[in-house]
Amino acid sequence: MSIFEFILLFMNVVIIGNGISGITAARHIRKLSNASITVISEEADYFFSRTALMYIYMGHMRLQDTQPYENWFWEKNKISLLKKRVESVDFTTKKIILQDHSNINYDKLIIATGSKSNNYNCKGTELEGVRSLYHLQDLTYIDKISAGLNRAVIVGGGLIGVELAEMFHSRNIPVTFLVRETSFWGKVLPPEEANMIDRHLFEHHIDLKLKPELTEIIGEAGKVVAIKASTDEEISCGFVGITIGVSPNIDFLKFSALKTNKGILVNEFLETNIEDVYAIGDCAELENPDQDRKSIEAIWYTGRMMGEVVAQSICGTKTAYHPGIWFNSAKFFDIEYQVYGKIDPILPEGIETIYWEHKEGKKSIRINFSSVDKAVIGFNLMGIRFRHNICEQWIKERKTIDYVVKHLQEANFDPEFFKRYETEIQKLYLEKFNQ
Amino acid sequence: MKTTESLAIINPSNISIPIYEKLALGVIAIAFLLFSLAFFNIYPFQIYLQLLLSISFLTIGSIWYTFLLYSKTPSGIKNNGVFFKNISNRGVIGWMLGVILTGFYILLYWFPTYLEGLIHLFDPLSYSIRGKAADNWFLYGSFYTIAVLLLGFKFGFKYRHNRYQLVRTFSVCFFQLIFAYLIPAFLIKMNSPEFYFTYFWPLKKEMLFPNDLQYLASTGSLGVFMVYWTVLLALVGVPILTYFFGKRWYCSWICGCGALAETAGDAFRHLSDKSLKAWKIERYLIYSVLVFVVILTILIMGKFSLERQHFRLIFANIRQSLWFPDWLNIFWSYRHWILPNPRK
Ligand SMILES: Cc1cc2nc3c(=O)[nH]c(=O)nc-3n(C[C@H](O)[C@H](O)[C@H](O)COP(=O)(O)OP(=O)(O)OC[C@H]3O[C@@H](n4cnc5c(N)ncnc54)[C@H](O)[C@@H]3O)c2cc1C
Repeated sequence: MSIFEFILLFMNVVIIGNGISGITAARHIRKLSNASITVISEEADYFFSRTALMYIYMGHMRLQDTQPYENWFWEKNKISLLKKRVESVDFTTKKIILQDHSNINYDKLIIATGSKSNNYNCKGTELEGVRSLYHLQDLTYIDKISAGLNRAVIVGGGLIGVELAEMFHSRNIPVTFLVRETSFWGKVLPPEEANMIDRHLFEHHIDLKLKPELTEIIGEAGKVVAIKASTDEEISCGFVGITIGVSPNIDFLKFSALKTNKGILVNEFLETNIEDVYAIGDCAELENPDQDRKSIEAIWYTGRMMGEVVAQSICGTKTAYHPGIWFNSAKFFDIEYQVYGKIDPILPEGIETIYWEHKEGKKSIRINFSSVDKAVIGFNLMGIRFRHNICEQWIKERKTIDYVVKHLQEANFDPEFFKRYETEIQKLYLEKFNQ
Repeated sequence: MKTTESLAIINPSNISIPIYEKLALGVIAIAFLLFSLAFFNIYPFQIYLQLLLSISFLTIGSIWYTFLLYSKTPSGIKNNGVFFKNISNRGVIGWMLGVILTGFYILLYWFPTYLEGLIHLFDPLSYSIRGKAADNWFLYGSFYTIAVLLLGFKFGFKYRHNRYQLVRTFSVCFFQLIFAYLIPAFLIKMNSPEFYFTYFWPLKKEMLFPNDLQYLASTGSLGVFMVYWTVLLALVGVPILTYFFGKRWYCSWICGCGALAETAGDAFRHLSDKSLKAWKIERYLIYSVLVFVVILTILIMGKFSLERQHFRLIFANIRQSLWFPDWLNIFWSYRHWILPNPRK
């Protein structure tokens, strides 16, 4: 046993936050060492999948079904769980101060406190019946208020907004969806795909209102009764869902020695400006993100990757965080969405696109490529699945659009017997680009 | 010890049922009423008419209800509220249904005489396809097949966005109706042995027992074909298919058990136990059953061949045949395990 390994036996690691980031870090530190590991988190007793919150409300799952590990797992792996709120951290004496004023020492601290929902600025947001969806407590709140609800208004056309719409819809509660842009998720999706989702929302009888903004929430006896939109329209409702994005949940660390901007600033090794303190997941902000990646990426898999990377570093193999080529996926009601690489909502100069849409308007494939060397830079898919590793490899190797269109069937990842559309796309490509 | 508190979820499934759904469910309920009349030996109609009415009501009601349930919304995954609904979350109705079904199985296996009224109801069908009166197994097979077909239709309609599920559901329904119901029935009518082409060793261990094989072979050329089918599929077909496709090729494409689980069971699949403990118990069970069946089969075969002194012959053949074509010799000598020995 080397000295370093010997020291590892006694190292005291404390993690704040039992989400995917903190828990991945804990699990991997346990795999690599005998350190003492404590996870402090205030929201829930056990790690659960935040991405599955909607399915609890919709009755597909129970809370325990969203917990990736059974309750005995933590004791067996000697990971102590503490359900407390951290009030502050004293970085000079390496102490964590809890809500009951007790404190805990650490040798290494990992901050993985996730996000909080952004607040909306208008009259009436303090009323009962105004809420965002991020934490378990939000879900319980929304669940309670759903009984006898006449209408829910959702403000902000992003991923959590559309999930909230689907949730209410599942309980036959009418939904008005206020989206500031000209179409749903217009800041991310190119117009054709965004329109497809708009149509799909209408098909599900979601009252999608494009462009108007929320200007006022009207209350009676402290409760929401209606909202006013910038079109001066008044919509009566018992609930207003604010889903205008999330930001790092780090208020308890403001005004400390820790360097923060929007999130906790970290370098590529996920180290903060203070020695032995790391930040990962939604709450971390990379000072120098890799090319085509953002400094804050509040999604599941980045938290998991960061958790793995930070565990390596803490256990002696200093490792840099390089998430590779961007990818993401989601589901809008019945339409699955995948993206690999770079897809801008408005086609930038020097980039060309080939877009194919199925005649029923619920499936599409978009491939973007550089007009200079014809190298493929991104894939956008609706209702069709592609293989992650193939798309990543093609983008990395800068394969030409000719090559990609010819080999498209290698990327398809739909289940067996699904209709295949490669020939349609190949035909379209020949028509459009083979002068 | 921390416990997981459940979310205090109000029950959102108390939504009133639309009128047409009520009617469709009513039609199904009348079918069950007709079945229970038969159970109590009450036959207000002629038997064939009562059977026809029962099955027609059941079929019309279920298909109608399926349409009402799923055709109003765009195709896609439909699991809303499975944990809120009484029947699919171990509620009062779910529990009573469980007791009734288990009770039905107990009657079927140990006290079939109590089911005589119901069995009688299926006589007209049994005479027409099997050429003899119904018995408890025919009753069971009929109910089973009806359930797979009607709820298979419901499953297919529910998952119509997914061609894999459509093809697969057609497959399980097809194998249940043709291979597990009609063909065995016709075989009985033709005085051939009742044979299930979709049962294989080791799932049905008797299928490689020498006495059973010998009996099959003694029933004529169809029987000999069945013997070859049994042996080739169990020893060659099953391993090869499983190697390439996993166990799904059987369990969710062909098997009658899987057929019921994937159709009628779909509404309840979320209730399966996903704990590590459940997984361990399952593994211990399936592997010990497999080992037991393999050993038992080998012992029975060994005893059988020792008795007939075929072992020596086989080993003599193995020694002689070190190159490929001679392997056929071994197979040839094996035939006496299976086929009646003409020299005897
Ligand atoms: C409804 C919803 C749907 C989503 N769907 C997707 C999706 O489909 N795909 C995807 O990639 N991402 C999705 N996301 C985002 C994803 O869930 C998050 O990026 C991810 O959960 C963040 O993980 P984390 O571990 O960094 O933080 P969190 O999961 O937020 O965990 C941090 C924990 O720390 C606790 N904590 C914070 N401060 C303190 C304190 N001072 N003291 C004690 N405890 C504290 C918090 O209560 C929380 O439990 C979704 C998010 C939501 C809300």
